[in-house]
Amino acid sequence: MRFSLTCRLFVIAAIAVLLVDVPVFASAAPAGEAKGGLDFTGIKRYDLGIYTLIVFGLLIAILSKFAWPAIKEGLEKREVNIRGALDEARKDREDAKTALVEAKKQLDAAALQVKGMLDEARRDADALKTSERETGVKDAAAERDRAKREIEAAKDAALKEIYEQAVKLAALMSEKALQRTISVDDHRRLLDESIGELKGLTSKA
Amino acid sequence: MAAAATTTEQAASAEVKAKIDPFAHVVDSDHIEIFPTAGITIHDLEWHGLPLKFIFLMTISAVAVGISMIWLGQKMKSGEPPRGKLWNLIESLLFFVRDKIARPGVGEHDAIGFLPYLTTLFLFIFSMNLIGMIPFLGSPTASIMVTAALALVSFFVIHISGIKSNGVGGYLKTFIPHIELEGGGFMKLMGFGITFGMAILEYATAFIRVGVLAVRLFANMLAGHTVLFMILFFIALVSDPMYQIPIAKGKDWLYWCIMPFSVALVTALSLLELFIAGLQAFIFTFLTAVFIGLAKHPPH
Repeated sequence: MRFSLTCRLFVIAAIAVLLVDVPVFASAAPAGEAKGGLDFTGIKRYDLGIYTLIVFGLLIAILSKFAWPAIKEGLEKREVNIRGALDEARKDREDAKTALVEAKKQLDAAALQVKGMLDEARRDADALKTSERETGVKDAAAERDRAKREIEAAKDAALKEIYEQAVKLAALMSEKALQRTISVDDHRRLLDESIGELKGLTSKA
Repeated sequence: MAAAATTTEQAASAEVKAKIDPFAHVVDSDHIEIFPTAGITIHDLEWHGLPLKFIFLMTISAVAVGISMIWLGQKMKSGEPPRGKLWNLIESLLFFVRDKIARPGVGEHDAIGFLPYLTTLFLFIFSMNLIGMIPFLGSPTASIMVTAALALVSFFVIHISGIKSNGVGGYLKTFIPHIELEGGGFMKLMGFGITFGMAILEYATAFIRVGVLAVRLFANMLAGHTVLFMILFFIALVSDPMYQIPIAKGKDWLYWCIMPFSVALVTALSLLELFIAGLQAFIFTFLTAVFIGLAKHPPH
């Protein structure tokens, strides 16, 4: 539309110039005639003016036909491409924003989860520590009791053996001293008396 | 006898003056002279007595612009981003016109519609300006008729756009300023007089604006190339017997003083001229865009 407007404007201008110039053109000074005044400006070169209009007009017409439609088409395509790329970039940015929010949410959730896990682990560790401590205390007490019992048993056994050896020795000494046989009941009585004395000594010690 | 000698001297003097015409190498001609001392000249660039150098150079510019833009169109058609130096270069010019000329000048809404015209105009002027920077050639924009023709096209584009947007009556009314003077009959009469005078000025401005467009571009290109020629011509003025000025006669050492100075200055000014080639193309196109914008959306 605009191209044709420009062409029409040009044709009007060309016709106007031809109407104005042609009679003068016909009376232009021939080459070789004496020159002067403003001739150096080319003021009488109407042929040059008309030729300029023709060349410029042809140039506009040719470009209107062969260049501008292609340039216009290319610019429109490029505009569509750029707009598409912009829209795509905008969409990508929105997607990225959404993904970022989502990732942040996930990150927050993960942080919470990690915190929970840490708290739980800490609690478990505390509980385990407490439980282990209690078990240790219990085991130690049990071990101590067992050791005590074993010691008591060993002490009793040792004492028993000592008593028996002492009884035997006492019996043997008594036999030799009294030159008679001492019955088992005698021994036992003697032994019980000795043990009683020994216990009395032990408790005093 | 004495009179004949005087006539011969005058003729020789006139011939020399003609040869040192500072515009001779800048304006249109029927030949391209490459180093006068080397004697390499392309003759007969004429048709029925009309010089064709500028026509030839303008055609080259137009063909270069046409091929570049068609090539760019084929490349851009796919919608792919630009690749390669040339593609980036040409496309950057297109976007330069769109972003720095059309949109600020015409307005965001209408800029794309005028982009083909403004881009073609900018590239055409720019290429014609640049072709003048090639030694021994010339810039077709150094001719007032070339710039006037381009300004005329801009004139029609500007005002027909304004008429299309506002209607004929509406557009013509936009030139009339709105002035209200409080007071009695005298003040009202004065207000009418001022409005009438300013309206005439505004209507005249519609023509003056494009006239100034043409003159600005032409004058800049002509003056720039003329200055370059004259600075280089200093070398011939002190060394070439044909042009040698009296003060330089018998002073060959002057050549060694002037030559490096001229060459260095011309090199520096050529860089400036390259900038001006782009700047003038920009100004012409930008002002056209601004005038289109003003015509379509007149200030209230």
